[in-house]
Amino acid sequence: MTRILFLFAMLLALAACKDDGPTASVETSPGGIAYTLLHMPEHEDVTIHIAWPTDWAYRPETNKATPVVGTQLILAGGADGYPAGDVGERFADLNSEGIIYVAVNDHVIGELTFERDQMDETIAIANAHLRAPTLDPMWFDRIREGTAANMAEAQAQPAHAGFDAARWAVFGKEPLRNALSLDEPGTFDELTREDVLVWHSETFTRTPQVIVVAGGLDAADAGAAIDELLRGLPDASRSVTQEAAPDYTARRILLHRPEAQTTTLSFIATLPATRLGGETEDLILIHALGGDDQSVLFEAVRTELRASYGFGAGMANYTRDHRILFLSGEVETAKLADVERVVRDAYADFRQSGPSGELERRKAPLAENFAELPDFVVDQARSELQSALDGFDAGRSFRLTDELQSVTESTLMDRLSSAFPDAQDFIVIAVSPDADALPGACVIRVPSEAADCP
Amino acid sequence: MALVLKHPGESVLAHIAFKNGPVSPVLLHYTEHLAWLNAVGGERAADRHSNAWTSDTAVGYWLSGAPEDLPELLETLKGVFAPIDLPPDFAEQERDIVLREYEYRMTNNPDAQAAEAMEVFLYEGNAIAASPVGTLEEIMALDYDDARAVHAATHVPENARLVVIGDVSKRQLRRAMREADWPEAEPADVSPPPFDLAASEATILRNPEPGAAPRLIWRRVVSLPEPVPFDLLEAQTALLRDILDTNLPGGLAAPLRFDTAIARTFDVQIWPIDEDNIEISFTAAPDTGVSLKELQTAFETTLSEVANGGIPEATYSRVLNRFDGFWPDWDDEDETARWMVDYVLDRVSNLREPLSERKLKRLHRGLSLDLTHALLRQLAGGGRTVIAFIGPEESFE
Repeated sequence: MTRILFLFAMLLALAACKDDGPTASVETSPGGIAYTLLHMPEHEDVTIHIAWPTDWAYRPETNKATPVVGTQLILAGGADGYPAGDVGERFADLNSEGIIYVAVNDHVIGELTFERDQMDETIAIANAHLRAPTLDPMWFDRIREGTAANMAEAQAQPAHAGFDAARWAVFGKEPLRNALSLDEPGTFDELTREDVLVWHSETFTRTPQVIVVAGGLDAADAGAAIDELLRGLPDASRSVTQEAAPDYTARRILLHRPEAQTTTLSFIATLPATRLGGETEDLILIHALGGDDQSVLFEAVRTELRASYGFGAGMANYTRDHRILFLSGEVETAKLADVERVVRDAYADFRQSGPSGELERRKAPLAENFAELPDFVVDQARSELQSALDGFDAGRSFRLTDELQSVTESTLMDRLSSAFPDAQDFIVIAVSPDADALPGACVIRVPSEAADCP
Repeated sequence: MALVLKHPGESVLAHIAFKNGPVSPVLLHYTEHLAWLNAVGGERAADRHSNAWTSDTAVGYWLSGAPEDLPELLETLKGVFAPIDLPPDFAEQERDIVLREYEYRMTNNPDAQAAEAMEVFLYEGNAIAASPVGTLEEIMALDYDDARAVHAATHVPENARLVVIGDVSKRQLRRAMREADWPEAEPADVSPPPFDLAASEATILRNPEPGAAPRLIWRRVVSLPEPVPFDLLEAQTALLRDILDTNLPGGLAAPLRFDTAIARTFDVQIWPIDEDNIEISFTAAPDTGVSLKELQTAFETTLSEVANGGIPEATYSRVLNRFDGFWPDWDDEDETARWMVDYVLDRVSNLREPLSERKLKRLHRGLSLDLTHALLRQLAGGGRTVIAFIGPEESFE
């Protein structure tokens, strides 16, 4: 792996005595495009990450399958001067990599990684695919049909259906819901290549929200690379408005699936957006709550109640502003009601008492992870891009160890009381073959009925 | 038998693997759950992470923590040798947890179900044909006393291989083992079970799944005329796989995906079972209007044509130039250390002797176009073959 190039300890030593260690700065390209440069001179690799804002998911008139098909089509369907199928081989020869993906509905993110010596050709190919993708009709049909088939299969899975039901409960008929679930009839069948053309032309502009360049490139070369990468793209033609009104009112819902062979249980509640801070505390708390076999939920549901192979906790984003905490697992059907009670009690105790044991030992895995980050240009740039989208100062991704050191028992307890939901504030959603397994729950037959559950 | 692998970092990991022995892997899986609970499963410091696993050849346990805690880590991990002494009710309940694990891995998972069935046929007559996942009936029949007996027979020092990974010297490891009173014994023959390929024949498994995206899984095991050292064979099969994956002459992508609309997507993998046998797996989703049977025929025809035509020298050279990513950058100590951790753990978990770094660095010299052709011809020439059709029944023919 050529994306890993030097020892962090060596880097620190160099940084202490010279000016050629990693630095972060806000720069402007010769063409007037602002970007963050993570200058990491020991790396021969360079990675460029770009976040284009989008509100496609929020608008009622758009086809919500467009971004998921469009991002694949741009990469697979060829571009001006680059027939489909050839460019993949050329990229492999260059040891270059490029991906485009939709990040929590608010941004389309492109990542281009290459060896410094292969920059010119890599950027020329990437520019052609951003500026003039062929969007080949045969490839469009192929990707649309394949994605539709895979989504249909996933939607039939009980756990997936449970999260679909949760989104109906939270977003009701808002357009954002179908962007998250892609389950409204006709979403894929009615998608046209014209939709992709419109989405492409309004999304890929030369005025992205954030650009991060990381690796062994100075500002002069980085600025020229950005200008060339975005050459020929239009300026933004419209302002982006990302507004949603989720409803996290606590409810208890059971999706009855008579044919299901297992029962799944999920608790969902809101967490503050990462731009408001507290993310490091969240990582420590959620690992302690449901991250491994020593976690509170594992202990309560598997070790004590003996009702599940594993029951865990995690965080997810519907959008950047709407983040959730979820507690979830597959459970024995006959013990579903007991699991609901046990999970709620265990969570309430945890919120009241906080994680047990020494804090330094809980920090250790994160400390190791943060210390290794500068070994990987792609991961460093991803971290920096997310921080920049949250409005933090340039170079935050180099300061994560400092943030970790500032976490104390007190800040954890503050976070639990101020940001984590009360145990009674969760939406509880079970998917089960037994309609009576969760007494008192609103029983539904299809996910969409969750929108009407009181 | 202990091995130490130097690796920079703030934690140390102790990993122990035992050879399975001639017992049901389903029972051994249950035994693994119980032995882990008996030794490691209690309350631990927050930085002491642990887990256990059972494969078709071995069972393993690992525990990590701070380097200065190595003696304590070994003291805890040593508990997997001790007789299982759990309350019978608790041990019986663990059978239900194994059942939940079965549901977690197998239910609503047609690919996993197909893999289990395919391996029963492909590996017939060999130890690896039996799966630790098992069936519902096998799990319900698990018995605590049987597990204790299996544990006593298999979890013995002569069957064990210990690997310690971290910023620890051999001397520190020896001292920690002494402090922990680690049980040592003359090592028994800890090597993978022998593999003898059953008769060359083919079968098709039809798995109707009305809601599933149609897909074909095609697997074949072939015997080689001459044995090839395992590590070289692993690299050579990976290189052949990379060639077949391309859109270059000699690859599968042009005839199946780019020049025609037969396979919407595909994935090909090739790997050694041992020094004498290799396996290929081809998984593909058909394009619209292409049945799984037609996809199967197109793949078999293409594989045969590629084998008959040979891999062009230009394609071989081009893909070989990209292949240095198979190994780490040997000049980069940190990258090499990370790679060696994965490599050694894989080898120990599969009861194989890891090569030294010095020997690994020379391995690329053994790669050749001749060997590539020989393997390809063998794979295309027939062997024990199993094909699974998954999806709506109307997509099959």
